[in-house]
Amino acid sequence: MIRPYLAVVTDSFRSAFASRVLWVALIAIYIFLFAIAPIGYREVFTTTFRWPDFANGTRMKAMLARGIAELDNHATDNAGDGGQATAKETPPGRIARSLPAELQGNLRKVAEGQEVRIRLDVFADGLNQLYENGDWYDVEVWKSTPRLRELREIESLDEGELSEDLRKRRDRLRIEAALPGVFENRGSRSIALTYAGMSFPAVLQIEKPQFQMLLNQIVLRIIIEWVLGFAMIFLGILVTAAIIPDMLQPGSLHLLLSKPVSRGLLFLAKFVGGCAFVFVCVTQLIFGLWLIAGLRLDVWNARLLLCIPVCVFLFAVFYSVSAVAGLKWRSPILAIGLANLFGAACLIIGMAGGLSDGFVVERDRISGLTVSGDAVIAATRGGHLRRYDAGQSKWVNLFPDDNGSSDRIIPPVTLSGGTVATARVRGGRMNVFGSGATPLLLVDPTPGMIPEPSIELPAGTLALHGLPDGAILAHNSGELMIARASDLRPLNEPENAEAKQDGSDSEKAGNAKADTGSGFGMWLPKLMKMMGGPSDGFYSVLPEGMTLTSPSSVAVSQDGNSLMVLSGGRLIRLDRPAASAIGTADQPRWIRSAQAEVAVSGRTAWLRYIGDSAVVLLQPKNPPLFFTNMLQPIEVDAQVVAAIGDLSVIAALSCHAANGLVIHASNGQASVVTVDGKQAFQVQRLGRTSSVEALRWDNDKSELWVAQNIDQIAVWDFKGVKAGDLPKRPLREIRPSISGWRMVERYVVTPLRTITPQTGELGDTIASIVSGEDSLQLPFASAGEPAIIERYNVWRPVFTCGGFIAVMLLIGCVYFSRTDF
Amino acid sequence: MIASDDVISIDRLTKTYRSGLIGGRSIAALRHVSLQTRRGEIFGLLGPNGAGKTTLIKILLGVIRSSGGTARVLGQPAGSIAARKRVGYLPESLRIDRHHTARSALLFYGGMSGLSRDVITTRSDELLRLVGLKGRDRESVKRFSKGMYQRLGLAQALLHEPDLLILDEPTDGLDPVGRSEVRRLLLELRSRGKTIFLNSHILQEVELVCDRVAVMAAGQVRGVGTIDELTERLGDRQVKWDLSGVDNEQSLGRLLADAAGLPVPEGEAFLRSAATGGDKIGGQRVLLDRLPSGVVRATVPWVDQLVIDRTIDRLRASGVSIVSLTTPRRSLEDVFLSLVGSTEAEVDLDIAANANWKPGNDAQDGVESAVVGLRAEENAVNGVAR
Repeated sequence: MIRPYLAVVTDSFRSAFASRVLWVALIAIYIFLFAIAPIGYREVFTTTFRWPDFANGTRMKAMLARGIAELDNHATDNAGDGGQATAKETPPGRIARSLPAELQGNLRKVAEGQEVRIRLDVFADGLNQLYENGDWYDVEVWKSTPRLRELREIESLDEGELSEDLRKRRDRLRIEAALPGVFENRGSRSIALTYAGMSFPAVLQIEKPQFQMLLNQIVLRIIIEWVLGFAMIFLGILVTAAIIPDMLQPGSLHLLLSKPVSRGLLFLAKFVGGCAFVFVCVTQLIFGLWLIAGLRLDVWNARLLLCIPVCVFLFAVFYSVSAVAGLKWRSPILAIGLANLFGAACLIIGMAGGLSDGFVVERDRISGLTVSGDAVIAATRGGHLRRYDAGQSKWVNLFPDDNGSSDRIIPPVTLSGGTVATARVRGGRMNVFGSGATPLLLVDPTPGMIPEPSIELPAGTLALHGLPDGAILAHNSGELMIARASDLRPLNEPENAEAKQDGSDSEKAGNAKADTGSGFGMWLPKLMKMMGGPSDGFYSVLPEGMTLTSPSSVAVSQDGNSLMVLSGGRLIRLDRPAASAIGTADQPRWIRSAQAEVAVSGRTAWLRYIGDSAVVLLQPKNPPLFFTNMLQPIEVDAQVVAAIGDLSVIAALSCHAANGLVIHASNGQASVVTVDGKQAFQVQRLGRTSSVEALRWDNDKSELWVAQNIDQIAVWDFKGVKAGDLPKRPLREIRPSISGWRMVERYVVTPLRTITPQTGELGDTIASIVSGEDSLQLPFASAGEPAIIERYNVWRPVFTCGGFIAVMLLIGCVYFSRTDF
Repeated sequence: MIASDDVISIDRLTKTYRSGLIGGRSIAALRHVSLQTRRGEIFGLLGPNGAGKTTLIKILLGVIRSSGGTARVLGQPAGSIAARKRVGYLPESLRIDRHHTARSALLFYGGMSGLSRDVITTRSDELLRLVGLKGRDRESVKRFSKGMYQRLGLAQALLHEPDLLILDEPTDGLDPVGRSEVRRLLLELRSRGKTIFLNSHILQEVELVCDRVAVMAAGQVRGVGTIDELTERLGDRQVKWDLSGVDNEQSLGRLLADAAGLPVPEGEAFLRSAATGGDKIGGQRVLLDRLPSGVVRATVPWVDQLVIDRTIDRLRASGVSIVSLTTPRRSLEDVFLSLVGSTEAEVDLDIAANANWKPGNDAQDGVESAVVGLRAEENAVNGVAR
């Protein structure tokens, strides 16, 4: 029965191989493969500084400026004493003094209070010049710096044993140790690309796993999308557009139709045969890429071969249009033209969808959420702060001038008194420090809910945590700082009547002081603030000399008396000092009561409480690490470890009262890890959650608030929930009415995108197949937001394209079967 | 009547093509066509362009659907997969993809017919030899002449050993030797019991190989039957008498009409000047022409031999000398043209009058319908000298 149709398909292969265009295409493919085949790589020590290495440029500027100012100041003082400069030197000072003169001059201006913009690449160049001689290093001065194991190991070697690269690596580590909290977490090894054995000038400062991820998720995707998604498909359409019209030539068609075959199946067989051309080309290209990636780059990724059917599938979308057009009008030219027009239409609809996503949906997507009594307040990715108006069933912006921007809203938290604390970092989406000072905003959960500015937040604050005593903990890239409850009141209240009105006023006030004051002492507080140190009203809780390094994370115990801190590869428990010490003038720092080392890689990690235990979740996917509250490792069931390790975490939230932890994974699902009194952990998906945006735990009511589907909310009741026995459905849901543009998006754009094949999104499918991930995570995420950039639409394009192909083929079959030829 | 050994059986088949946005315009391509083809015969289908021949073949092959009536092939509904399994077809302008060789084309078309590779290979050797392509079977068809294409087309049509071959202009493009070979091949296939439905414009070819023919025009079958039947039943056959010694043409006319049993008109009904041109063949009357030599030529409708004998007797009795007596038989082309070139109404009338055939007359369907003469020669019959 199937033999006639196999004959047609086989004949199409024969036809494809007889096509000159195929051979031209194959030659082009092999030229391309031969051109990229010499690309290789070698691992080198990470030495050279580049601007993306700086996680906190402002802090670096301030630290170096302070260092050089301290040296200058000390030298001046000593000169007055007779010129004996036994300076109180600091590592930043010695580094700053060894930088190029122009840069030193600028740093001095910073120290003097002038607004001087120094580009990060200038800093990078300056630091790179330090490799030329090691005069800036002093063993005694560096003794106080946190020294990583790698640095200690290199320093244990004899100077003569060190290669030039290793010496530079040692110097880099010394510089990083001197400037804690400034640099991104970089691996010790980087990738140097080579071509035919010659190194490219630039070095990729990523480690091999990241290099492989980059290759899989971006490079191969781009090659496949552009070479196959456009060039090959266009070429394929050019070649195959004539297949159906040729079949309809009288001398050919009548003979075919006289054979004992079904017309519909004959059309389908011709269609499948038409895909043979592309299959032949795509197979060789992808197989070649796979071999090159494996042989030259050590990336043996068999999933790459799965792109062959996906690419043929993508071609089939366009070819279905060409085939039906060829069937109807019997003209290859018309078939090519219509296929291209269709491609353009898909592109336009895809672009409209992309714009709709970016300017309508994404801005409404909830990024942070909190509740206080009946009030629900949310921050959005578009920089809005909103409250939910239950009467009108809609979200209402809290900022009167809110039109969305590059501002970053720090996820709101509810303080113990019911007040909601948040902040709006101007320009914070581009720069973690924003522009100007950022006041803490307090929102009283009354009907008006007007955000009132309060004390200034430490620079670069990424997150706030409410403490049970009403205080607030601020977390930035280098510090943990607390403001007491008594200091948290709006500026216009009597206690603060004379205080600054907002952040810009604060800046102006600071400048005014600078203008009127003189001497380094006047500027120290400002430099400290620039470095991300405590602002007025905050005090640091980290032990003296400790600075957070990336990746960092903090977890607050249920009683608020302990903090778990992850800083680089160190895990530290800090305990609140004795009650008698709180509120004293020197604002005592918290006490380190336990410490452990953890092997972390990558940029992001989460440290969270789960019951009395702590867990470190690592990204990219790695097995989680469990610890007791005194940081003793806990052996956890391998299945639980594997289940959690498989989750691509983008956020995690402790549910203290329920002895649980909610993990928000990049696939949009929420999973709950619970633990019982015997430290038996269980992990379970929460209901049918699928498009989670943000999470909030209400410890008093034991309710989990889940923002989902852009701006909807589901409330899950965890009261009385036992480990592993989660509620099946939410207690209640909030489905706000949507704006006009959202209506357009929902009822026009989305249906259009559903019924038209989203061929552009097949790139997501390819990327997902190649990487084995459901989302793209890059180390260049917006400041303060989860590193997730893009959640792949793996199945939507498959369904829309598959549905479209099916409809087109059905039309073709019916038309071919019912038409007289 | 549909006989059990009919390979093709068509009954009141109609096909109307519709065009325009809502199918407002229509063209009747076939109008109540009925005919049968018997097992083991070569059946020829004749007709001018636009007669409906191709439409008829397309319906038989299932390429298009009929608008009415029925058509069965080998006992199966025409166009069904079961019917097509047993039909081999050679289209008029065979087009084989240029990437093929003769052998790969046979592999493809054999596969289309559901044959296994082994069977195709075996049959290909035999057929390539039969059609004279042995030795060139590995060449690309790009180098093939039209004749080689046709031979390859014939080979593919025979590949699955069909019971019925439908050949559309099989000798088109062939040289005389090639045509002869194809004719020989057709006769050989007939001897093997194959039924062949042949559509051809080459009348001589049809006459040489076809057992029966049908003539179509304007979507209708104008005549169908064996060539002998058509010859014998020629309804408008006439007898031409060249007579001398005729004093009174009116008397001669009455004599001839009376002898033939025709009505005798009043007045100068018989005389016609030779200068007026040709007469109307088939008219039920006697026409007289006086030739410059003084001989009177009388044209009388053929009735039978008894009438000839009786007329001779009476002429001789009246003193008229019979210079010559001929029964003019027109060429195939004449007959073909006379059937398809006349106005529709006239032709219909002629057919009905000559053969008592009319559309839908069950008794006259198929082989018993219109009868025309097809002999190319003009044979003298009963030529008598004084």
